[in-house]
Amino acid sequence: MFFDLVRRNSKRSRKENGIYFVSLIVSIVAFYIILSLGNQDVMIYLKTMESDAVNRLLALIPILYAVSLFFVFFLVFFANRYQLERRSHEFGVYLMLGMKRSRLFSLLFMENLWSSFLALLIGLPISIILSEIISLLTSRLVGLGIIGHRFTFSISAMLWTIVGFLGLQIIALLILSRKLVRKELLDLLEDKQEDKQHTDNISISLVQLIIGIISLTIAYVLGIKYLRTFNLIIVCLIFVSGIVGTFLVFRGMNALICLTIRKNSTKRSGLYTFTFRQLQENVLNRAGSLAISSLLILAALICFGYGVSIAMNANPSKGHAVDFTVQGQEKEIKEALNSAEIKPYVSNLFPMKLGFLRGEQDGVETNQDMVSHKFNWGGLEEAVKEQKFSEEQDMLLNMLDFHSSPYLISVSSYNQILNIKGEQPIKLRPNEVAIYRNSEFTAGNNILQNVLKNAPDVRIDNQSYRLLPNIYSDNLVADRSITISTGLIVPDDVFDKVIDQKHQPFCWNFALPKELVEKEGLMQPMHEVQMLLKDKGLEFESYLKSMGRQLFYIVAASYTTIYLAVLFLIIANTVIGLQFLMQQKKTSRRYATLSVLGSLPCDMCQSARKQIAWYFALPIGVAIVSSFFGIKAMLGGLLPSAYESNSKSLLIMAIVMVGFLFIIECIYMISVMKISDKHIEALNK
Amino acid sequence: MSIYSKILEVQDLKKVYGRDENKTIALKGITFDVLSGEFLGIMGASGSGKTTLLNCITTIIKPTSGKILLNGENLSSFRGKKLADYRGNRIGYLFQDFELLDNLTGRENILLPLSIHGMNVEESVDKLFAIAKYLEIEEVLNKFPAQMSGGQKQRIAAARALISNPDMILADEPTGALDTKSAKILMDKLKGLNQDEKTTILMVTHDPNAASYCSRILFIQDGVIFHELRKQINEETQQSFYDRILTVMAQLGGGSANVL
Repeated sequence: MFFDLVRRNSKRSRKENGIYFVSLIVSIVAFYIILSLGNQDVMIYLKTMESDAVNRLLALIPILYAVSLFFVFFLVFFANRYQLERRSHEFGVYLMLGMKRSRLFSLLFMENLWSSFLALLIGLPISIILSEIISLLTSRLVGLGIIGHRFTFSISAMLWTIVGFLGLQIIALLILSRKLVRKELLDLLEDKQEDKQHTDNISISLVQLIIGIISLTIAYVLGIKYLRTFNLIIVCLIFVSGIVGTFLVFRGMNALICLTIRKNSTKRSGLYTFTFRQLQENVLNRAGSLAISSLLILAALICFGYGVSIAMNANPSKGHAVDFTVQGQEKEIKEALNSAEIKPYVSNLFPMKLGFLRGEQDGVETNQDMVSHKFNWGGLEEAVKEQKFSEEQDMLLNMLDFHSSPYLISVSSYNQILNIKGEQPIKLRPNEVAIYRNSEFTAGNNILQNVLKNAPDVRIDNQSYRLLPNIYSDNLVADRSITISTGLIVPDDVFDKVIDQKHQPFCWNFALPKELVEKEGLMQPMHEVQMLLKDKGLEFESYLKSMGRQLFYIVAASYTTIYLAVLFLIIANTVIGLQFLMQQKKTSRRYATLSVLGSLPCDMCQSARKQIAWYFALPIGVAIVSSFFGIKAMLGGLLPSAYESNSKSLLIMAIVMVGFLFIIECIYMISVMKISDKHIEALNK
Repeated sequence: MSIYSKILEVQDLKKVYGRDENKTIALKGITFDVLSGEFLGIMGASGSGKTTLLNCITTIIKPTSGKILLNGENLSSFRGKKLADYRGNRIGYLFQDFELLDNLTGRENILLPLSIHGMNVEESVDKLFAIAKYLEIEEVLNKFPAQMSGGQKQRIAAARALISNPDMILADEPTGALDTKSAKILMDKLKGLNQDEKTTILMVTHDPNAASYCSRILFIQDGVIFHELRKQINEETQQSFYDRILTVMAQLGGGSANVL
């Protein structure tokens, strides 16, 4: 009998509160996927190359999990409170009939346990399948090949998911039951309507609104101007003024709605006044949780924006040209690479000639036999100085100053790189040079690009060389054997004249044949060549390493941020949706009165739909405005280079983000609207 | 009486709840008319069927058989828009617990039926003030129900019932939640409306005091009309009508029931 009641009650709760149940399942799936991150093919593979970084990330996951549990607790607590409030009359009847409070508590406890059990039963298989699909998809996307895939199932992830999830439920229920136990029986039996006093006194709200907007503006300005300083006080100020501002704006919104109603109520017919009075009541009574929901949506948008921008900027193919760089004696290298087993993997083998232009002040004393050269940035530096003062200009001038004698790259070597990429070679006349900047160093490139249009000159040994209008930025080696932030691409004869030939070529580069890559992908053959080169005892590096590192950043950033974004979004939306439905249930008598006064069911549904749309739109709107400034501040402060170089991809990111948000919100709004329609139709029967 | 035309005709109205063994007959065939300009009271003990009767007239429930005609039109044929129009426009309601929307101001509550039926609210503002003045609720128009007294709430509800010029006002225990003073003010106003404006009122009550304001009273017991009282206009004082009501009530409560 008792278990029958438990089963029936929990079934009814799930039915009436489907959104919450689905959200629970989604959070279970998210929990498992993040906890089983270490079992993903990509991660297992990366562990072989970047074990330190991977281990550090995996060590961070428990913290991430704890943080997300904290936020999901908010959802569980709220949804359970809604359930209990809705059923308080029923509990009152149980107690009246002589049920002991401890028995009532165990009834509630068992109901929750049963629902949680079902959520786990549905959620866990989905999460296992989904994490397999993600694993397969990512490994395919990065070219790992799926042959090596094996089915993984993380018992520890599953156990932690279950423990965390059940723990949340129990703690939330314990806290709520304490409240329930303290209530008078009469309070339980009375199905109270919304009990807050209504007033049309808007002066306080108006003040709150104005202070809120000012406080938010302060947060925005501080964020954009000073976040990059990473001053703890400023970061705290941004957070405090942002959060306080959001809360006050929602408190003050009452004034806006009230003024709208006053202005329009006698002009508009239909349920206009009713619709907005309902909205006003909801916003007034729930300003706090609306503000929290709005902040959660903001956090989700920022997480999502951050993850996507990192993923997009860490594009592994950027600047990638050569696949292997080998260092050593020319004879040994050629012998090894021409051997029967390696030869099929080698194409475009060329010597990379680059060297440091030894200036007058550099190391002359220690190496007496070296010839020193004169260099200055000549016309380029002057042209940059003539530009309008800006932070960028300052950085660029510092950089030029720092590289008072730059690296030189021979144009024939650089043209080989362009050749591999299938791009047009650089044609340098005897008195021309081109500027090289690594793709990771882009500060000041906008000014540089501008200045280069007028073909300024640089001077090597008192000879003037005009700069080409383009900036070249392809990687000179496969990974990291040398990273040149800024250099000059010079004609071969100039290079031979001014660079000490003793150490040339710096290294040998080659790429994998295109046909092979097309047939077998990049990863697999690269792996094989690595083994072969290791056997030959050559000193080499491959693009694989660089790719692995990039891949790690992409996977780590996108997984964690998108995980948090999804959690924040479902929590915020479920809370907003439940709150609306809660108010609708509490005020269902008003709908009955409207019906008696001759309002058609379709009109009432329309009014409720309008309320829902507004009720969702308010927190989302505030979050979108804040996220615009938030993302701008974050990209300007945390990822300045990405911000400058990639305005187009930022735009794409913004579109993707808005689209993503739009879809999620539509799903939630439509399902809340459907429940509300059903509710109103039931009232009219 | 010939100047009075029939506004509402209730013909052989029956209502049965449940089926077979659980069958409960709430109304066993009730027939009566409501004449234009009449203040008709319906009295009966709990379970007599008066609420069922009222619910049939307000179209909240459907009768099992019989007809209710409003100006000759059968209510059960009303559907959709016509039904909605009947509810808010041609009938005005007063409920025991007022049924005001507590998140709307007094003025918004009063104008609600008009805006529901898509009528121009601005044009009715003059009328709103006239009614509010008569009912003495001008100063609470911009307040919310929670800031009003019970009597004020019920008078706001009365104004809401009057705003759309209905053919008839249905009042269900309008004094039920009011103290004696507020109840007297309300009944005086309703009587005034009935006498000065010729407003037709159908009131269900079991308060003999309120009922003594009526011009005619039907007593219902066990789903049938048991007795009818008519006030002798211009001849009978309210007090003596009240005494007559009490006598019938005594018979209803003890008399015939005990005899049977």
